[in-house]
Parts: sequence; structure tokens; C-alpha cells
Amino acid sequence: MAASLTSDAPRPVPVPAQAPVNILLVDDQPGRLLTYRAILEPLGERLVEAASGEQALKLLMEDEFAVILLDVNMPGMDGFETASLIHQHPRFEKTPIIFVTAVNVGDMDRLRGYKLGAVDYVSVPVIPEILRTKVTVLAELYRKRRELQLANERLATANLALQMEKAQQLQALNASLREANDALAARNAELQREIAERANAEDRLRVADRRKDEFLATLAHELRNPLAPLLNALNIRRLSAPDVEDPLQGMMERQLALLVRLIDDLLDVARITRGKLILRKDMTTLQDVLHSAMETAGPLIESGKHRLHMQLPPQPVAMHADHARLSQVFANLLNNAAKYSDAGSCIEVVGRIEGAFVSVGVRDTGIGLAKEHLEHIFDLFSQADTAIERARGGLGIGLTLVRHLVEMHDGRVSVHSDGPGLGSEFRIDLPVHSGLEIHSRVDVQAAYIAGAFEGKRRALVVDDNRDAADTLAMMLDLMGLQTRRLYGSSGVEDEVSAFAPDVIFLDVGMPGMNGYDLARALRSGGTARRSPLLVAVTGWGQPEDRRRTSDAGFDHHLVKPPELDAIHAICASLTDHGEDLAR
Amino acid sequence: KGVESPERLLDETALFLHRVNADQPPAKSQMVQLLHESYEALRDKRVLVVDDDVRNIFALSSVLERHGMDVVTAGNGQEAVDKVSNDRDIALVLMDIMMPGMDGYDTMRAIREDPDSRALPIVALTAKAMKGDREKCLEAGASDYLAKPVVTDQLLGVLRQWLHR
Repeated sequence: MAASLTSDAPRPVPVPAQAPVNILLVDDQPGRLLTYRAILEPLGERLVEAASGEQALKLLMEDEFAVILLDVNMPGMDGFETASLIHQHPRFEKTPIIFVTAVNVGDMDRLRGYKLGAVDYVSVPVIPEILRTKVTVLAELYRKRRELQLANERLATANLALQMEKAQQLQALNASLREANDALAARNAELQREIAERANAEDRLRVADRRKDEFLATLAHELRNPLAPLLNALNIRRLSAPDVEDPLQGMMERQLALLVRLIDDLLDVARITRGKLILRKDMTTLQDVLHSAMETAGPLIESGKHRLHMQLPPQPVAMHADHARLSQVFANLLNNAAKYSDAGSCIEVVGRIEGAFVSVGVRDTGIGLAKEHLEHIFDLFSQADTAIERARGGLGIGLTLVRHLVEMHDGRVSVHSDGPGLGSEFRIDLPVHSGLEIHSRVDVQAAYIAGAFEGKRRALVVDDNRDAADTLAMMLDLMGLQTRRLYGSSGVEDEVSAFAPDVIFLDVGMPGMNGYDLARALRSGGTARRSPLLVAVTGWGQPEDRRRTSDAGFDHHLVKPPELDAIHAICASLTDHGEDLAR
Repeated sequence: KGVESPERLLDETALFLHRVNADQPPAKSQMVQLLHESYEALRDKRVLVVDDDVRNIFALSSVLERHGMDVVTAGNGQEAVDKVSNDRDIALVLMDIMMPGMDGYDTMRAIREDPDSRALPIVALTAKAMKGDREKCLEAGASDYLAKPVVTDQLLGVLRQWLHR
């Protein structure tokens, strides 16, 4: 027994689809085997012979067969037993078997054969065409099945390859996605950090900006304090020698006025940026406003020997505006025109009604503006940045004020310049008031006569700034009042009892007991037989400040440096006050 | 592979549907699991069937292949000895005792002479369940013993026992 029975053979071997198939011929009679071979040879398939059922089984264990031609009547193991064994085996349960029988097969046998899995019967003598046809069909069927199986296997392989490829692609995609995700997350974190940093920086900026505004307000206020005695001193000089023409006096008055104006501008800007500036609107006219502006700017225009051409509508142009603030606007523009023009230049002011607006242009032939400066010219602290322009001075806040004040009046300001050295024109458009109630402002210049209140009234001056106290007291002396001064809040009440002043000028911001407390004490103490007039002298001049002094019991509120007019007016009212009391 | 039993059908279906075994009802789950264990113990194991009767070989091969085993055969004792010494992948031998010439006892003794084959499981198959056969078989080197005609479940049980690790 040389042939080994092995199941290795039927493993999927790449068999060409059209290759011959194996056909197993099983018969104990060599003659019949010869006959089968003769009939089937033309089909071109591979014919394998077995002389017994056992031999057939052995062959089956070695190879695959498309069809089995099986003799029913064999000695020993017959066709039925062989078929039964064959179909029990998992590898051959579907292998078609054609039974060959010499005797006439009864229906029972036929049924038994079919039950065992036979697909067909042929009887001896075999009719060649019929056997050939049957085998051909079955061989073809097998071939098809083999093809299908091959295709399936190829498909399965391809599928597996595809799955692996897809899996790899997916993995790669996943990896890159994860990478992208990580990168995104990192970038996100970075952005978040940047946002936080930016918000932080913004907060710091806001704080810094607020500090700047507060600083400006404090600075302006603090600068006013030393101005008070200076102005007082100048006033004293003028009052004591009204007839002497002193060029130094005029110069000092002008420079001091300029200093006051600069500080006022600074204060105004500080108020505007903090939203604390309040307009006091009333009926006025453009003509009045420009008149006031020219009074303010006059000295600078004159000192530059400039010519001023003014062309305004003949009829008064009515406006509902804050006269002082609008004057300030035009005064600023005129001052700028004068400041930034060579001596002896021409400054033009042209006003025109344009619908519901009046448009006023202030044109000069001065240094002009470069294009890049035009858009920033109204920004705070903005100045054309050259040595020459610097030399002309200024804080760079005048135009900021102009824009804010004009906008607060529902107006517009614009600037035009053909370039450096070609002059510039500022245009202001303001709404015209259609109402008719116009009354011209008349500035009543009070005459200050030295010694006007000769000896009649007593005034007490309290200020911890000795210079301020001394100069104010000297001024009041010159006006003819009896004055005493104290350089602090202590001893005020005693002095009031002893001296019985008609008026007390109280500095509000003093160390120890401040002006408010002092006023309240004086008002409630009842130490004086008659109540003296209380005048607050302070650097703070906003309505809120005024309310505070009024609440504390003050009768008047003077902003440092106190103007001569105001002091005079208070003293004049004192006279009336006194006469009332005398009656 | 074809489907021969409800268990296999269930198993194949579950595999096909990629269903997690744990998701199934406990009884079914256990059934599938047991089937898996037995199947896994036998699958792809190479078994040498030694018998002079090709009908026996064919019948055993039918059962073993149906359980996923890889069957090699030998028609006589000498062929069996040669196959065992040449094929280290053979995991178990099913040995018919009653063979003409070199019988099962001789063959087993010959196999055991080779030190490499001392531990190879050999299951002896004998036609007559006679008293003393068992002792004779074990003496000759058999690991276990089955009486003919072989009952499929018994055969599979013994195979699992020896092939399980």
C-alpha cells in the first residue's frame, strides 16, 4: 500500500478554471471500465479508475472528483454502501454520483439510491450519448462551482487586503486627526492665553487711562493754587497805582492769563474725558460768541501783528448754546491761527448760513498740516511733531476741546490743509436756533475804585497758603475794608468773636479742620451776634463742588484764582447787606 | 465550512453578525462557549489514523474532518511508524489493533522506541472489548483505549481530553 491517504491534497490549489476535472469510474469489471473510458474520453477530462469501493474511497482521500460513476453491483462493498460512506464525508457530501446498474432497477432501489445522494442512474448497456451528456453537465457544474469558489477565495483575499488597507488608512487618518486635534487644542490654549493676556492688558490700560484723567484733574487743580496769590498780587499792583503805565504789569497780566487759560483747558479736557463737563446752554448769537472769542484771542493776534478779516451774516445768527464754551472753541482756533502763522499774516473768519446750520471757517496762511497729521489733529496731546512747531508751545489739547465742545453742541468740526507751509482751514458747523428770543450780551465792566468801601466793613481771610491769604487781604485792604488774616483753621472761632467780621473768605482745603467743617461750626455755633457772609475759596469749581460748599453753609463760592470782579461784587453786596442790617 | 448543527448555525451566525457572545441569553451563550472550547481543542490538530480497512479510515476521517481536524492516514504499522517519525506535527494517533502483519501492539511499541514520541498520545481501537485488552494496550504504549464500533461522542471526548491544553 504505497499510496498514502492524506487530506492535504484538496487544499485550495490554484486550478485554472478551464483545466480538466477528475472523473472517478468505479466498476469491478475491467471491460465496463474500458467502455466508460471509450465513451467519456472525448470530453477531455481526467478519467480515474477504481476496481472496488475500497479503492474508490482510497482515491477519494487523495483527490477531488467532479463526478463519480459507480457500479451498483460489486462484490464485497457494493455501490450503495460505497455511496453512503462517500456522502458521509464532509468533503464529498455534495459530490454527484451516477449509479450504473446492469439489471432493471426497481423503484425501491431507485429511491434508496436517491436517498444516498445519487443524482442519476444509467443502465447497462450504456447509451454513450446519454452518459456523455450527463457527465458533461455534471462536470460543467463542478467547473462552475470551482470557478465560483476560486472567485470567492480571490474575493475574500481581496476583501481582506482591502480591509487591511482600509484599516491602515483609517489608522493613519485617525493618527493624523489626533495630531491635528492635539495641534488644535494647543493652538486653542494658546489663543485662550492670548485672549486672557489681552484682556489683562486692556484692564491695565483702562486703569492707566483713568489714572491719567485723574492725574490731569489733580494737576490742573494743584496748579491753580499758586496762581491765586500771583493774580492777587498783580491786582493789588494795579489797584494801588491805577494811573502808572507799567509795561511789566501788562506782560505779567497777559502771561498769567495765558497760564490760567492753559490750566483751564487742561481741567476741561480732564472733565470731558471723564464725562463731567456740563454745558450751560442759553440763547446767544454767533456774533456775540465770536466777539467774546476775539476778546480772548485778541492779545495773541495783536502781538503777532496779524490782520483779522471777519465776514459774518449781517443778521444776528441765533443759537442755543453755552456762550462761554463756544467762545472758547473759536478763541482756541483763533489762537492756533495766530500761533502757527508768521508775524503779519492774514487770518480770515467767514461765517455762512447753510440750511439749519451755520458754517464758520477759520483760515490762516500758517505752517499748515501734513496729510498724516490731519486725521489725528483732534486727538488728545496731538501736535504736529517738528521742532519748529514744538517751539510754538501748547499742550496739544486745544483742538481736542474744540471737537468735544462742538460735538456737545451737536455740531461738526473739520480741517483742511493743502500741506505743510500752505496754511490750514478749520470749519465748524453748528445748528442755528430758529427761535426769536435774542438778547445781546452786554458786558458790564464794573469800575473798581480803590477805597470804595472805606473802613465800613470788616473782612477775615483764612488760608493756610500764606501768600494767598496775604495777597487777598491786601486786595481787600486796598478796596477799603478792614481785614485780618489767619494762616490756618485754628483760632478762627475766637477771631470771629473778637473781630466780628462782616465777611469771611475761607480756604476750603486746609489741614486740620477744613473749610466745610469750619463753615458748619460757624453757622451752628451762634458765636457771632450777626452772621457773617461766608465765602468759599477753592480750586474746585464744578456744580457738585458748589453744592457742597452751599450745603456746608457758604454764601459764595470763588474759584482760585479769584477774579477781581467777583471779589468786588461780593464786597458790594456786603454793603447792601450791611445797610439792610442797619435799618 | 458547511453548517451541520443548530449549535454551529448559531455560532456561525453570531460570528457573522460580529455579535459579542456576552450579549446573548445565558443558556445560548454557554452553549456557544462550550462548542467553541471543544471545537478549539480539536481544530487544525493533525491526527494520524492507522487502519488496514479503508472504510474505517474513511469513516473516521469523515468525523474528524467535520470537527476541523487535519487527518493523515496509514494503511499498516510500518507506514504509521514512518509517518510519526517524519511528521512532528502529528498531535495524536488513532491506532487500530487488529491489523495483518505488524499489528497495533507492535506498531505502538515501535513508536515508543523513539524518545521523541514517548509523550505522543496514542488511542488504541480494538474490535473486541475483551477483558485484558485494555491492560495489553496500555502495556504496549497506548495512552487510551476505545472499543469498536467507535461511538462518535466517545471518540471526540477522548480526543479533547488528550488534545486539550
